[in-house]
Amino acid sequence: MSLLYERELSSRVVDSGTKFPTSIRLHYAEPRLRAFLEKSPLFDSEKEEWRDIPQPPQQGLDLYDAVVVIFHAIFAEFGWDKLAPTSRPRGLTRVHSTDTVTITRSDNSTYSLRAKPAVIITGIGPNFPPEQFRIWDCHLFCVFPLELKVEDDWDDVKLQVQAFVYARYVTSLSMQPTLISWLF
Amino acid sequence: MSEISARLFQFDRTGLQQFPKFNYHKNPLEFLGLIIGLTAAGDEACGFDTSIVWKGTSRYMRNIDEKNGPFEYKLGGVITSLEFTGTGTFWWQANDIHGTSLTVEESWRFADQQSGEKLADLSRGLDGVGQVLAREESFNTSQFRVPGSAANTPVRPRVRSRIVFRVYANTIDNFKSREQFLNAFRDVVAGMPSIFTLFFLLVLMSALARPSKPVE
Repeated sequence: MSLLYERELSSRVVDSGTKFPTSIRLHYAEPRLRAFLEKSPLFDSEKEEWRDIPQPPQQGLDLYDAVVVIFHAIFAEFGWDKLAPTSRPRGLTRVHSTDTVTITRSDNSTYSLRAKPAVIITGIGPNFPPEQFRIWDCHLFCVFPLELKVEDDWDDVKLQVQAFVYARYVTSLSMQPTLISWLF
Repeated sequence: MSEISARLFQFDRTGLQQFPKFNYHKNPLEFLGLIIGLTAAGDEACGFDTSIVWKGTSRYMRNIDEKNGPFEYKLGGVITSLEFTGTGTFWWQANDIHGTSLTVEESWRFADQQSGEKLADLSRGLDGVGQVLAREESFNTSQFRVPGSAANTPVRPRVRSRIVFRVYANTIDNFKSREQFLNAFRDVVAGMPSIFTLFFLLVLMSALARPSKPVE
């Protein structure tokens, strides 16, 4: 199946050449963002790192929970008062996480995907179930994180295809058409 | 996002636009700006179709062919195509305020292709061809792309087209006999070969209902 998606995407990938999309105005005042980073227990300003984000080879730790808590803190701080101010997002459930998978190579050596780097794919889309992470009432903007354990040699094409699979899933859930999908 | 970096992918009917990967630990302001910017932007800028709205448990589509007056169609079921990129055609079952059954076809044609307007004009008044009641073209995928991003990898932009047809009779799957099906199919092919492709479905609908060709 991924080959089909790869074929559908091939020759339809464009590099933006800029950091951010021009159709989205970035609504923020830098001093307010800095203040958030300084007071938030989630970010270590001295080390310049988000706390609790595991390092890639670390055994047994998922990226999922740390990312969800960071997103929730950002949304709670910057104006989405519908969110409960709890340390963990209410109603957000783990929709997918890979279990430890031991792969046997052709030479009979083994390795575990659990220790490999993780990738979180999430985005905004309409019509996620209401018990999911509702950000906006208007069109049910939601983040919908999906965590994958990937192999060391995951290249850009594999990532594009996986994001594409996610985007198709988002669209298939839509009760109204979405013109574009943003994933990060 | 990985443990170190984040990057933004944007999908639309022309394909994928990818933004550069960046280290979100070293660039936390950019990371915050990206998430807040995407989630705080207006519905339309984020790609939501604001012409479709919910009222209670029903969906409505507004203002197709606005120059002829504001319209609102109550939407029923929808048939969607499986493809993500490409024409991405949707067919909505709909009713106007008088209860007339309609079909709304949405698709994304290449912006440099001939628009459906000329074909709709050609078919106007022809026996056996579903008539276009309203149509509009809106949203060009290039409006979602960074200007100049396609310079090295040319991607033809697409335009969304909406066409409202009257539904004349049942769909093809309601035929009662093989002969009825073949007669309807014959009417389609013999009647309108030049615009066969575009109006295939609607011609079938109306051909089944043609009083001049009773079939049993």
